[in-house]
Amino acid sequence: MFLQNRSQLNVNLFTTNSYLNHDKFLRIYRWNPSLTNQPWFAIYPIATENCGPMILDALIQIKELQDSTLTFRRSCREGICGSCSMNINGTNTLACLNLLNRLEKFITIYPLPHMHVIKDLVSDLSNFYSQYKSIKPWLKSNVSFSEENLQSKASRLELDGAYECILCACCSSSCPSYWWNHDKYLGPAILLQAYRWIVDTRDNNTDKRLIFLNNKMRLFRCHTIMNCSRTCPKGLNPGKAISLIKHKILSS
Amino acid sequence: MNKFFNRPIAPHLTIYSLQQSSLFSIWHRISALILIIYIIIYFITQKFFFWTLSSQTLHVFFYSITLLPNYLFNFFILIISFYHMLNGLRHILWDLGFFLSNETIQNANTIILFTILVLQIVCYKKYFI
Repeated sequence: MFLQNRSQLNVNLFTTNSYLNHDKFLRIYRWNPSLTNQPWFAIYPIATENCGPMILDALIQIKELQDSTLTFRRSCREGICGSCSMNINGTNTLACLNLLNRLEKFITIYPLPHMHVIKDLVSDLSNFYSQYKSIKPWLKSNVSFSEENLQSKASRLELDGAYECILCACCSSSCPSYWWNHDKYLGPAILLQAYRWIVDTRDNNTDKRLIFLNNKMRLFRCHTIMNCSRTCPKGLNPGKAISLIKHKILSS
Repeated sequence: MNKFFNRPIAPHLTIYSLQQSSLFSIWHRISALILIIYIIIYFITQKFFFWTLSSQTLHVFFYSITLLPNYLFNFFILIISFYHMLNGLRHILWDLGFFLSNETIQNANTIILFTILVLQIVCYKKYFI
């Protein structure tokens, strides 16, 4: 009953239930690899009084009570793991940080834009992770110390705004440049992490990192569209980090 | 793996809501395209149509802004070139690392639109005074 590909919904969505007032409707993009070839939309009614405050609570309630085939990633429910990143009403955010009680009656949920869909709202992030691996996100320091080499407070402050990235892929999925060149362009999330390792004073492989990034496709596909900083759910600024990397490359 | 399972690509352009940042960026590109086409057509017409002695009337027809199509065309080309110039200046500042946070970008957006309005009024002030 739930898994038919209906292009017309023959249900009157606005009937009032005497016990619960369904005031929000979630339109969710669905695709099942073993069922049909084409993705479809499923609309689920949600009563705000019966559900938790966040959209992730609504998704979990739909999975429990209405349609258990709905598939999505989730883990921490507090905006720190980055699993529940999806496109909600046109912008990429974390579902556990977005309020359900908003002005619009219909909330449209898509998976992350221009990513391959594994099932329903689950995107294939393997390309994203392999790009993260390619920038070598670990400390490379071939200097050995006999005692502790403390990092000064000023040097530690440089990392603020770069280390908090939870690799949710919201910003990379919002960048049109990453949409058209996702195989070669690294994307704002990875470049923010690259900046984090370049600006870390404990790491002395800065030149090699900059040489790796000094590439027409890996870094310079960024045209400062600045969609990434608009959509980051943690409030970080990848666009500024990319601009600073470009500045470091061109001034070295 | 993606080809083997015939996985679809999630929709992107059709669903992602146009932000202020991406709107200004795409208008920068579109205005560049329009201005380049304008410049090329200008030089082509100069070389191929305006080189004879009898092309005086053609010249008058193309460049007199008392005719309504020419007037409207020049009006829009002026707005487009002001937008491209101001947004280009902002891009230069961005490349140097200034004004790259969310609030400054939104402030700069309103400043650019306001400046375009002011510059247009200054260029067409003879109709207001």
